[in-house]
Amino acid sequence: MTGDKIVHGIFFSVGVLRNGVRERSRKALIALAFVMVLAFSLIVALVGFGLNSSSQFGSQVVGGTFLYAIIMMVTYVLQKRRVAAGRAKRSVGRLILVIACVGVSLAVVLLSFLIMPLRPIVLLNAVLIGGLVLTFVLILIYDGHPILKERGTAGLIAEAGLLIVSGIVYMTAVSIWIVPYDPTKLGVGPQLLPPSPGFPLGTTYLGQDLLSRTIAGGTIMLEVAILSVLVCFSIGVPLGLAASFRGGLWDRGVCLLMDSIYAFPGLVLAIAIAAMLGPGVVNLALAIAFVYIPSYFRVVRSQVLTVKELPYVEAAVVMGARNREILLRYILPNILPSAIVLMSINFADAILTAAGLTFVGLGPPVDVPDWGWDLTFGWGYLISGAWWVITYPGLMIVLLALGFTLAGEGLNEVLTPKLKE
Amino acid sequence: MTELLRIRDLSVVYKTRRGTAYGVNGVSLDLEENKTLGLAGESGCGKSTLGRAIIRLVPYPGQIASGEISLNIEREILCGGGVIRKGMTNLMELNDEQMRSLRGCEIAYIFQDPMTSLNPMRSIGKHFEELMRAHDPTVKKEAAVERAKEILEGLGISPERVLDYPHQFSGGMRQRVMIGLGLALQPKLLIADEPTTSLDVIVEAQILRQVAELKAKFDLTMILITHNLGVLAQTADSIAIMYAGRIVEVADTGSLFESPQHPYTQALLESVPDVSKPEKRLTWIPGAPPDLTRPIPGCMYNPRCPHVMDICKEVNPQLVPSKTGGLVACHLYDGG
Amino acid sequence: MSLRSFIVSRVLLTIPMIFVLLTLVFVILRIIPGDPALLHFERGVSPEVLAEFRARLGLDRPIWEQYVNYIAGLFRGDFGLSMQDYSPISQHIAIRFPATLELTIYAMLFAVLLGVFLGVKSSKRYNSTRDVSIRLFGIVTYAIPVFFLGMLLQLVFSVWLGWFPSGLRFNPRYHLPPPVTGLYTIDSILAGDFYAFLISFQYLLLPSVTLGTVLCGIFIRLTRTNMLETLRMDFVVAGEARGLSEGTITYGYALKNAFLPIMTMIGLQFAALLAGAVLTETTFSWPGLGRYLIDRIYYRDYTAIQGTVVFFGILVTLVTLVVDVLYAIIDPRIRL
Repeated sequence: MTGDKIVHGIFFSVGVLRNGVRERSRKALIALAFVMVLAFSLIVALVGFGLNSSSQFGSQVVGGTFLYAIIMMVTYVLQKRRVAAGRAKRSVGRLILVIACVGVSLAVVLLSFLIMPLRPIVLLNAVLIGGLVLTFVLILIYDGHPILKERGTAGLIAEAGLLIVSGIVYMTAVSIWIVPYDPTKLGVGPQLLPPSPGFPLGTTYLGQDLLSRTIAGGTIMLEVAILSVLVCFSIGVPLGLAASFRGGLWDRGVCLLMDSIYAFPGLVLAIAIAAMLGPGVVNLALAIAFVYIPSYFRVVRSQVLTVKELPYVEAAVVMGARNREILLRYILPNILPSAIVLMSINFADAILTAAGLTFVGLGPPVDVPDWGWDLTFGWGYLISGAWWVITYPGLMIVLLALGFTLAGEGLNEVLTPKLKE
Repeated sequence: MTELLRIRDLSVVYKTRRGTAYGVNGVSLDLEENKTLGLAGESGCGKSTLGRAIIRLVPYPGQIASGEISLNIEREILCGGGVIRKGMTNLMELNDEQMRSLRGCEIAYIFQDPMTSLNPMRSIGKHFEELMRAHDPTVKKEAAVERAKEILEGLGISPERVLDYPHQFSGGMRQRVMIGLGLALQPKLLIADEPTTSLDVIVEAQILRQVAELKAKFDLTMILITHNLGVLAQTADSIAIMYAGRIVEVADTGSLFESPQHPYTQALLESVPDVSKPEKRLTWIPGAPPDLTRPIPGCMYNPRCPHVMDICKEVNPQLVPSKTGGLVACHLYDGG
Repeated sequence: MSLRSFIVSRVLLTIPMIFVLLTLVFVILRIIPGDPALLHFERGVSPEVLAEFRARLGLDRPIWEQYVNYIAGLFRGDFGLSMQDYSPISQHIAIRFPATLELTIYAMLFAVLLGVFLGVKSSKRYNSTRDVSIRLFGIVTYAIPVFFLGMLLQLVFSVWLGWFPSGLRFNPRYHLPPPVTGLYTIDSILAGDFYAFLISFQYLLLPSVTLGTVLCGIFIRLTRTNMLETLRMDFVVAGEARGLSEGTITYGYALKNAFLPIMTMIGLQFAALLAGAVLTETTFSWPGLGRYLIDRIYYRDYTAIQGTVVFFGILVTLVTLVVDVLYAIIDPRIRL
């Protein structure tokens, strides 16, 4: 990339085109700020309510995650300064970072075995994932912000989306420790109680605490989304690469298959597969993954076909580079940005599809807290005017999908800049 | 001779992230009836912006900051319930609807690239129909098509092609259609913005001849914007040279070519190849046009000017009468 | 390529695709699960019942024979028999498809009208408050699960305000219009029964607004991008310079030229529309195909699931084909 100015990021560097004046509008920023404030006030309020009324260990766990993130961040900033001052190589800095990460994580593992010998895995899961997410947020703000700001509004949209998603992931990670009641326990309060001091978000028709369910309800959905996107990515991208690079009959055949899958309304096919496979997180993820493989395939294929014709790739071919080398060195780096953008949007789709499957009764087991189930069950009691039962879980799904959509939107312009004029 | 167009102190600014650029900077111009004014200068000197400012359609994000544009309107124009009266009218005081009804009716504008200036989804006849109905909703479709055929025939395009789409025409024919559209409502003022730049030389000559004929036929007053001084030598009565958003010299075509006053005009003429004088060495103007977002004090041309004096770096020269009967903005002639 | 050969080649391309699609469904729903008959009877069932069940549905044949029968049946319009009562699935589809069709038509109409309207509004004032809020609205609609939006509308308009019914297609206390097309709104108009039309419209409004809102985001964005692009084009500026009215420019020039991508998008969104319809029908107890599919899942009626899924797939493929052909017919640049 021929930039006038190179901005060094976390693990990659971005060349910034100085003369490419990026669109930056104050009004778009206000709208973005509005969404962010809305999202974060909701997330912070939920976590705050939870911490306020939860019995034990809630604040300790949250504190632990913050401690983890701060240690990581300090290490990161220090190594970065050293690297910038030229006293250490970039690779050494990265090594320090990895060592610090492993060290702190080991400490967390040891501590959780000491403090809570009965449920160490649950504790260390919460602290590790929570801590990592917080570290990500801090680095995103400290280091990612300058890079993304260079890209104008689009970069800030991406940042906002990633922050919203991180917030929800963090809440989900520490949820077990901050919920006031066991989210699945029945009859902790009266049935269908509107929001009230004891139950800030009210209760469900089974007398479950809706606050606890809202805080914890993202677990399954996130697991399904992550799993399905990973499966999708790891099948769709190699398939697209292989088919388009080989060309010929093979390419035609795979294309035809992919087009046929693409022709179905995604949800209908997912419903059919989920109905066949039966309930369960993995099955749900597989059903969703299957439906979205063609989108990866198509994007990768069209990108490869474009890149393959570029002069420098042809030059490499002429110079006798091997196929594998061309694929890995020249073509893969070119298609990765689009694949990452697609992944981000795919997350939003996967979440919406998972929620849809849950709604038609093909979701995870009923005995886990899940926003999709809350919506589905709450729907049956809509007629009594119990707005809270659907509003909060629904809002969380919207926020999560919105976060991923914003991230995808922004990254699309940041990572795959179209040359304007 | 009566005055048709009077521009006073017109400024157009482009507000960008890098700052405010003066595309047109305090330009004043007078144009008499039935004359052709050539507007020449380098790319980016503001000549097109000036043309667009006259019809108040400065491209985004530009806007007219100040100034007066007065047009002598010869007939009463009905628009949106009101009437624009005859006589000298300041276009800056008209509202959008009044301005719209003037465009195409009193002032016609012809664009540089005929390939993209026609709506690809409309037949040629439909273009004419739209134009006429926009200015007079009572016009019947058949009448409009008849008129379109008549105009096309006058321009040497066979009338039955009226139902064809733009992509079925060649570049030269499209430009003729554009001219036909411009003149369909018999405007007084025709602004042609590099009308022949994207055409080849033979077509260019044909189009220019045709424009000249039409000008005589319809009593047109014309502003011809071009960077091609050769074209102006053949067609223009007088020429205004622009540099960095300002007019630096105005003169009759003959005297401008014979004895250019402003150093920039001299340099510009030097850099035009002349077939009749093969021994002449081509020259160029050292340096590049200034960055309009960073105005320099004094004369905008001073960094490139061979005759630069101290005053040039401090005071911006005003247009003063020159000895050839035109106007020139240069400190070389201030004292004289 | 002439229009005729384009259509022929496009149709020829569709045939293998449908074939692969049918095979895919067969593999997923018949081969992978092993024995659908056993899956159907979740608990133990006597071997005699099972044998008779298999024989009536043809599940006792070798798998390749089942496959051939399945494909051959589809050519005759036979989608197989339901596991529940051995009734032909094509009958169920025929009864329920009009409901889905009606819902999707109105939803698409709503989505396109709202999306294009907002997109035009948004593009005309670039980066204004209106533009930004419309864009934000578009992104938010993309992130809302359609059934959640449906529930919210039900809550507000049925439960709290009581303006619209929260489910079903028609008031059971009023007699239905005589079936002609199966679309109640059209049937009631054909029968001249205005009251029936109002009722069916009242029942239709919430579901189609729900589904339409979720889809309109993509039309907003598409319209906006294309309008912004087109509004910058030369022929639009040339139209303005001829004094055409703002309405003609926006709708006749810019929007008409931006309309082809929008039309293509209507075809491409058809799959998403049907997927959304499944959830919308479930939310509003709308007796359409999607609702049927969900019902069949509760009954573990795998043959019916297979039939419905196949129908959805073929439908989308054919609609895509039609849109592609229409695109070729409409664009005058292809029609040479």
